Amino acid sequence: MYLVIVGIFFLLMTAVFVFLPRSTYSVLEKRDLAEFPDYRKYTDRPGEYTAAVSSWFSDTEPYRDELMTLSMNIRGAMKGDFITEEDAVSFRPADTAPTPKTEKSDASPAEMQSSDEESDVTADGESEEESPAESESDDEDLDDGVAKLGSSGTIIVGKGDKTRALMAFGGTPKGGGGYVDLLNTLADEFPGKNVYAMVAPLATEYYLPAKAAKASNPQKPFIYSVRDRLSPKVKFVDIYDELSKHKKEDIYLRTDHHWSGLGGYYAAKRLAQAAGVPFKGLDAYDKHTVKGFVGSMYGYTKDISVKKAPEDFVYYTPNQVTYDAEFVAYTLNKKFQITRESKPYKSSFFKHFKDGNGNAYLTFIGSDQVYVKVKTSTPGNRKLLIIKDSYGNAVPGNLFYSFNEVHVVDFRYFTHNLKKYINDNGITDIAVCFNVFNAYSSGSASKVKKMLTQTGGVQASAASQSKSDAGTTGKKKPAETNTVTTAPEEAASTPEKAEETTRQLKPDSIK
Amino acid sequence: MVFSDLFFIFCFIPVFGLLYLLCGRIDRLRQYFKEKRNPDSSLKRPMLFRNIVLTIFSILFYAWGEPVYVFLMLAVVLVNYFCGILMYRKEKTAIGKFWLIFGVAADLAALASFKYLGFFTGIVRNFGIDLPDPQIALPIGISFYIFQSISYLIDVYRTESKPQRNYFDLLLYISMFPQLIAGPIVRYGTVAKEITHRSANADDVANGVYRFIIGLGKKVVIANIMGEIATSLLGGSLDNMSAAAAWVGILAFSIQIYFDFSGYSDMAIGIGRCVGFHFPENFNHPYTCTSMTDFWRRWHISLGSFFRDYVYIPMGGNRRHQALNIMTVWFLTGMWHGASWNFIIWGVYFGLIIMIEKYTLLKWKVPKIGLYVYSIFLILVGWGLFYFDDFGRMSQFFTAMFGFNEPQGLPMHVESVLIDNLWLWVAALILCLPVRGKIERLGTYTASKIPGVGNYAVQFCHAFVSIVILICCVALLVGATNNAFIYTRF
Repeated sequence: MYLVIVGIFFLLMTAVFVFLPRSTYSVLEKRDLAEFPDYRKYTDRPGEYTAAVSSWFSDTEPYRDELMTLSMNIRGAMKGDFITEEDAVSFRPADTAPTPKTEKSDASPAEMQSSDEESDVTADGESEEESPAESESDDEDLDDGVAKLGSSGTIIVGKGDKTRALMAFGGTPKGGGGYVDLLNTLADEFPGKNVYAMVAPLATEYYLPAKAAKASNPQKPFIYSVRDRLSPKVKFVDIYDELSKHKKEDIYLRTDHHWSGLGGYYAAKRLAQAAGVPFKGLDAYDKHTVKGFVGSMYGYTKDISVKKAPEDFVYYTPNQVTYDAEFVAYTLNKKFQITRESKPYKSSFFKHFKDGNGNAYLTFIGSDQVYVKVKTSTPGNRKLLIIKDSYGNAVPGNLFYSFNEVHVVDFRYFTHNLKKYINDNGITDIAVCFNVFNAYSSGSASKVKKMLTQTGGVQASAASQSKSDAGTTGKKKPAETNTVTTAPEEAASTPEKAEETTRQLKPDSIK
Repeated sequence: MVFSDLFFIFCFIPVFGLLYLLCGRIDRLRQYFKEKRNPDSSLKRPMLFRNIVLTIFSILFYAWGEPVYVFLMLAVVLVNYFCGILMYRKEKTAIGKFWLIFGVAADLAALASFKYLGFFTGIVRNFGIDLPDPQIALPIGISFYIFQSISYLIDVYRTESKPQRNYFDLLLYISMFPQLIAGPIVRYGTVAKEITHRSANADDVANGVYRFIIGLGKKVVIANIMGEIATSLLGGSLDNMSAAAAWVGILAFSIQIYFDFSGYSDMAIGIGRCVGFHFPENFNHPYTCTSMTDFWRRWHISLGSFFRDYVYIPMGGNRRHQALNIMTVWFLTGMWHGASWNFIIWGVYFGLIIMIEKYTLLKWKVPKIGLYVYSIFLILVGWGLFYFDDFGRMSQFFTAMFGFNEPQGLPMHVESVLIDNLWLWVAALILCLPVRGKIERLGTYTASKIPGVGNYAVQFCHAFVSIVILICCVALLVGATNNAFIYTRF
C-alpha cells in the first residue's frame, strides 16, 4: 500500500514536471527564467553544459512561482514566533540568482551594491553561458557600474503588517567620483543653465534599527561627500535632509526597493526650491491608491513575511494643470541592447495599475525604456531635463506646476546626442537624479557622459554599447533580437494593456 | 549529477526505474524459456539485462558531472580487473603479491596525481623549488571509488573473494551510481554475490523508497538550510567575531555535515535496496557518542572499518607499536578528506585524542553526561579545524570561539538565524538523537496489536511522511543550484 500511494504520487509529480509546459517568466522574481542551454556554446566545456541543463530544469519547473511561494512558507514556518517587539530584525543572505545568465541581468540587491572600490564596474558579471568575447560586451550594457558585495544581503525589520524589507549599502564616502565628475562636466558644458545634483538615499538610512546598524554602511557621509566635491556651479538638492523631516510619513515603500510617490514628491519640492520655481502643496493633487501592493523586495528577500505585509501604493496626480506627454520608446533585445526606436507618440504620463499588481511602481512613466517630453500649461520658459534611474521616475510628475516643459531621460536608454537634445529643446535646467547605488558607481555616470558625445541613432547606440564585440555578436544580433516590449503605441494605450506589457518588461531593478 | 537535484529525481529516476523494471521482465522471460527447455537448469547470468541498464545509467550519472574523467574511472576499473585476474590462484605467492602491489600502487598513483599533485607541488614550492601548479580539478568521488578498487584487490589477494572475471561486472561494482560519488565505501565481498544474484521484493522496494525520501529530506530541508546559516556566520569576515557567532556557526556546520553526509548515505542505501543491493550502514547517530573512539565507530563507519581492516590490523593492530599504527591511520584519514593541511591536522587531532583517551578516560569511571559534553566539545573543535582551510581564518575563528574577542553578547545576526529557523534547530537537534527509529518501532509495535488495520495504518503513516517530505523538498529545490553534497568533494 505504501508503494502504491507513494508511487502514484511520484508519477503524478513526474508527469507534471516533465510534460507540462515549462515556466518562462517569474512574476515573483520579475525575471525571465533560464533558457535551454545551447550545446554549441559548450563544445569545450561539456561539464558545464550538463550542469546548465540541470539548472535549466530546476529553474523552469511548471508552477515555479507557486512552489517558490510554498518554499517561502516552509521557511516562514520555521520561525520562532515568540518575539513580539516591533523591531524584530532578520537578515537574509542575498540570494544568488539561479542561473548565471539571469544573475547579471537581474540585479539582485547584493549585486546592486557598490563595493568600496572606486572603479567598481562588474567584471564578475560575466555570463558563464557565453563565450568570453560575447560576455565582454555584456558588461558594457548591463553592469551599470554596480559591483557585488558578496555576503551581505537584505534586512527585514518589523513584524506582521509593519514588515519592511531593506537593502544594505556597502559604499563609503570615497565613492561617487564619476557622479561628481559628470555633474561638474555638465556645469562646464552648459554655462548659463542650471545643473542640479540629486542623490536619493535608500530606505535603509531611515528605518534600520540601531541594533542592526552594522548591517549597512551609513549613506549620509557618502551623500554629503558628493555635495562637498561638486563645483560651486552645480546646485546640490538636499533630498537627504528633506526626507529626514518626513520619515514618519510613508516616503518609502515597505515591500519595494523604491521610494513612494510621496518620497518623490518631497524630492521634487526640494528641487523646485533650489530652482526657484513655484511648487504646489498636495491639495493641488488627486490621490490614487493601488491596494495590496507587494513590490520587488519579496522576490529579493524570498521571505514570506514580506508577502504577508502588502501595502497601499499611493501616488498623486496634479489636477490644476494640463500636461501633455509625448513618449519615444525603445525596443530591447534580450541583452538589453536597443534595437529599435519608436516614433513619438502621445500617452498618459501616469498609468494606473490594478490592485495587487506588483509592478505598480511603473505607474510613473510606465517604463524605463522611454524618454518623455511633457508640455505643461504652466507659463514661463523654464524647461527641465531630468536624467534619472528608476528612483527618478517618481519625481517629474510633481513638477508640472513648476516648469513649462519637463523632459525625462533614463540614463541607460537614450540614443541621441544629449548636448544637441538639450540645446534643440531649449532646456534651462538639468537635474541628474540617482539613488545612492548609481551615484556611487562610476559606470552609471560614464554612460551619461557618453550621451554627450554620441552621434545618435539606434545603430550608433548599439554599436557604442557593444563596440568590443562587433565581430562576434554583431552578426548574430538579428537572430537573437527578441522583442521584449510590445509595440509602444499599443503598450501605452490603456492601463490594462500597459499592465500586460510590463509583465514582459525587463526586471525593474535599481539602475 | 547529485541525488538532491530535481533533474535526477524527475528525469533520471523515472527513466531508470522504467527501463530497470522492463529489463526485469526480460530477465524473467529468459529464465522462463530456459526452464521450459530444461527444467533443471538455471540461467548463469539471471540479472544480465538489469545489470546492463544499471551500468549504463551509472556511467551516465557520473558522466553528467564529469564527462571527461569518466574515462579515468573506466581505466582504473580496467587495471584492477587485470590485476585481479592475474592474481587468481597465485594469491599468497610472490607473483600474487606483485600484482597486488602493482594494482594498489596504480590506484594510489591515480589518486595521488588527480587529488594530491597540486598539494605536493605546493609543498615543494615552499622549499624554494619552482614547480608549476598542475591545476587539476578533482574528479568527483575519486576517493571513494579508488578505495573500493583497493578493497577489491586486497579481498582477492586474501582469497576472501574470487576475482571478477567479467569486466562489466567489476565496472558495475565500482561505478554503481547509488554509492559512486560519496559512499558508503562498499567492500567487494559485501556485494560480490549480489552483482549476479540478487532479488528485491515489494518490501525491499518500499523500504528503499522510504529510506531514500528520508535521506532527501535530511539533505534538502536540514543540511541545505544549515549550510546557508553556517556560511552566513563563518563565510564572511571573521574580524572580531563574537563568541556566539563562532559557536552557533560551527554548530550549524556540524548539523549540516552530518545531515548532508548521512542523508546521502540513506539515499544510496535506499536506492541500493530498491535494486536488490544491501550496502553497509555508514552512520549510527554519531552525535550521541561518549568518546572520540566511540564517535568514529558511529561516523562514516565504512571508512573507519576500511582503515581498520586494511591498514591498522595489517600493521600490527594493538599488538605491535600500537601508537604508530593509530597515528598512521589517523594521518591517512585526515589526508583522505582532502589535499590540505587542515584535514591532516584534523586527522592527527583525532588520532592524538583517541590515543590519550585509551589510557585515561576510557579507564576511568566518568559520569555519562560528562562524556557527552566532552565528546561534543571535541567534535565541534574538530569541525572548526575541518571547516577552515586557511590558517589565518582558522586562528581568527578559534580566537572568537574561545572568547578572546571583546564580549558582545548575542549579536543581531546570530539572534536572527536562531529565531528565524528556531523549529529547524529544534528538529535537527532532536533528529541527531536516535528518536526517529524508536518512535517508528513503537508505532509499529502498537499498530501490530490492532489486528486488521494496524499494518495499513503504519504504511499509511509512512506514505504520508514521504509525501510531505517530497513536497517540501521539491519546493525548496526549485531554482536551487548550489546544492552539492559536501562529501562528493573528498
